[in-house]
Amino acid sequence: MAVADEKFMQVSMGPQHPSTHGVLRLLVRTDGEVLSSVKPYIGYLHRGLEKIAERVTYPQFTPFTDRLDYLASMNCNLAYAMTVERLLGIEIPRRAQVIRVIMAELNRISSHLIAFGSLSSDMGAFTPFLFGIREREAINDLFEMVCGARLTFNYIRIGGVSQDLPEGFTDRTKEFLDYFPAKIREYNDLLSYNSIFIKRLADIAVIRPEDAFDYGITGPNLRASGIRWDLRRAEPYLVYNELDFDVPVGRGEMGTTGDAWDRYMMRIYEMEQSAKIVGQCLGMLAPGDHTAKVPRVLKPPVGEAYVRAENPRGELGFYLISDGSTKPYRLKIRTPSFANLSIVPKLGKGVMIADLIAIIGSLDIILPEIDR
Amino acid sequence: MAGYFKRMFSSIKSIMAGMRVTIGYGVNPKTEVTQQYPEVRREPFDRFRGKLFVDINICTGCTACARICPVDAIVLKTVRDENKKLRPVVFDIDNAKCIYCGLCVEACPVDNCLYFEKKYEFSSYSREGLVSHFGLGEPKSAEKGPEDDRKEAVK
Repeated sequence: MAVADEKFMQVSMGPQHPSTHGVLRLLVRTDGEVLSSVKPYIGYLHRGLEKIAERVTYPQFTPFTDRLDYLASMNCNLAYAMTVERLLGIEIPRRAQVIRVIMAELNRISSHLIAFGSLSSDMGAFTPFLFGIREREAINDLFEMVCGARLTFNYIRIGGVSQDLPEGFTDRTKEFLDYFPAKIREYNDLLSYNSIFIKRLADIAVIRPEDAFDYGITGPNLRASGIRWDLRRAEPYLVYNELDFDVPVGRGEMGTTGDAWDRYMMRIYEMEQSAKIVGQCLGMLAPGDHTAKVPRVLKPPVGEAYVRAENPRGELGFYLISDGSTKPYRLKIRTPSFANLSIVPKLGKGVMIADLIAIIGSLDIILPEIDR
Repeated sequence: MAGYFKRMFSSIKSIMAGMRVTIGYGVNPKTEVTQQYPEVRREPFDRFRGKLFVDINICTGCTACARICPVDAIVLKTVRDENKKLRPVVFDIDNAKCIYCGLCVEACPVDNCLYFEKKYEFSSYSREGLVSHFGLGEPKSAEKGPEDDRKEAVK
């Protein structure tokens, strides 16, 4: 804490603040309760993943992508695998594609459950967090059944997936999908339509569509501003073009379109849609190979590839340059949270300190992805 | 003034809706989801990636696992024995470095040579205690460190 001048006070919020969703430091200048400026400082979790990629082989880098967005490791694995596959020009068996979509969507649900829970505990309601974790445990059990890990899966590999689905997975998933919609109704009773919660979030930190474009915001945060842009629809990969699902957009139900409540509610709607997708994919599972024939030593031809995929937090892109050797020449990762965080200084101007927590929580950023 | 009471009423109503959910779980013991961990231990699934184990007697010393490891957690040294077969003298797995990604298990060409155990409780009092030694070389004096004695004493 330091006095900037007579009127303002400078406070460092974080890096160990419980509501900054990781190790994020926000330098805030306050005039009483009102913020005059917010400046995020990042880098506390920097591990140099892009540099590590240059000294490990292509398959060896897959476990590192788990550590990008650890709440949605499957989606990160998927985007990386698709990038290398495009470089290699491999065609993926249909069964592998369907399994990939199931995993990506289950992981989207589990990631949104954390987003739901952490925002509620930031807003002072701790109970919904436990409800979210409870359903997430069921999904984690499914993942453990499939690949043996509960957090860093390393399941979606270059050419397909590492192992076929185990016996009993389909039944267990169906069981989960049967009771999950009732749980979403519970969340709505518990939190979404609670008057106090709405008062805390509605009309707070409105992101206008043009600002969203300027700052490169993607994912649920962009759709909350009323823009129907979802890569699963706009640039379908895997089997998404055969699936029937809606892309929910913000309508300003409780206030202005693009406010914090809309951003929160996008995640609830998306969980419903993801559950629907998983249900359809379970029906599409046909016997077949779970992985394509991939050479043991991968040497992609000289060239470059950029592939993006819809992660729970937005568009995750991998830009990969190959020089024909077994190791990538350069890997650039475009992470959604980084762009989403960049709008905080704009949103945080002139709001109350308590609203800053709502802004960070509703943007649902994750720090290992920002620092990488 | 009317709006004030209306807001108050809607707040109470929405809190009641939430309380109904929590009380429903509170009074029904069947909805319990937590486990008392040290007393109740959950059985992991078959594919669970726990501690790595090497059946050193069938290891061919091909070093495929050590080469694929992204974090260099496996130290493997081999010598040729009198039959000109590779003999893994040193096979150390640093469980602190290991990220349990499973690439080594897939790379291993021998069936049931390198695999994951279902064991997930292997904390130690020292860093050295986290290294598993499987090598066939001359028995090391550090194979049974003081931390192992202490663990047995606790039991």
